[in-house]
Amino acid sequence: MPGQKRKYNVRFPPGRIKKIMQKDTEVGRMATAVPVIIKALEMFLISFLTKTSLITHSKNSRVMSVNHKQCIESEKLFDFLKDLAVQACGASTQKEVKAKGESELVICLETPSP
Amino acid sequence: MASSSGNDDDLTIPRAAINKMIKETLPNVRVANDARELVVNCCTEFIHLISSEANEICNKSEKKTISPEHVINALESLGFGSYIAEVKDVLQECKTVALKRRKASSRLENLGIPEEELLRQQQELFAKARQQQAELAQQEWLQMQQAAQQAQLAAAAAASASAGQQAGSSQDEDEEDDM
Repeated sequence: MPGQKRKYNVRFPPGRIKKIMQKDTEVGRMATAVPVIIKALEMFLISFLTKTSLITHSKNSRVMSVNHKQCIESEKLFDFLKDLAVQACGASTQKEVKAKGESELVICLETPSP
Repeated sequence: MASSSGNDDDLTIPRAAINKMIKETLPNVRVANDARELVVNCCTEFIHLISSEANEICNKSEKKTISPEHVINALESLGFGSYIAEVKDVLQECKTVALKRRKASSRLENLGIPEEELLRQQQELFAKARQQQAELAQQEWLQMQQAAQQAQLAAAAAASASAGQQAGSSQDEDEEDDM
């Protein structure tokens, strides 16, 4: 008997994903490759969310916020998300946002705005 | 909402799908809105990453269409090799489904009956079914009528039976009037 057989009810729209892929004008035709990408995306999300939730837990916070995305920093695999994380962090806090590297994400605290 | 389809530049996975995914993966964690937004954008970024890598691999292979194989190689080269096993499963499923579909359509063709003939047969069957339904409806109608008639008769009989008693008493009066 398979141990962890999780059947997800979420199905991402293949048409939408194809459009996203083809926004990159370099990308040409692909037909049967889309379901494969969907699966990979699913797995990526699970992995990413799970890792981030560990950080949320370790901070004893009950709400996952952008700050917890520091896992993006810690995993080489998620390097491609660095820019996004920086942007998001910059949007949610209005102070001390200078692209200085690692320390920035950790410092990104939700200080109450006056 | 002002625009119906939105700009092409804002293509993302639908928020609802992401929310559901978060709920299924982390059922007991509350997630801030800005974090959800970030997840949505990460998805798009991931798709771009894989697509462009797969595209490069495809170009190198001198093929024009990105195949699942290219995507798998892309995953490997980007460090997502651990995803490959399950991804291959999905690929197998897709192939099986596609094969079944092809078999099904070829089975239909191999019946040897051209489409027009099939259409004609279908129309025949429809006409027959309609007729049967009409007959059934008529029967029901007749039955209802009969039942109604019987009910009427019964009512009339009962009425005349009681009226008869009354008539017996009033008939004398009538005779008097007539005469």
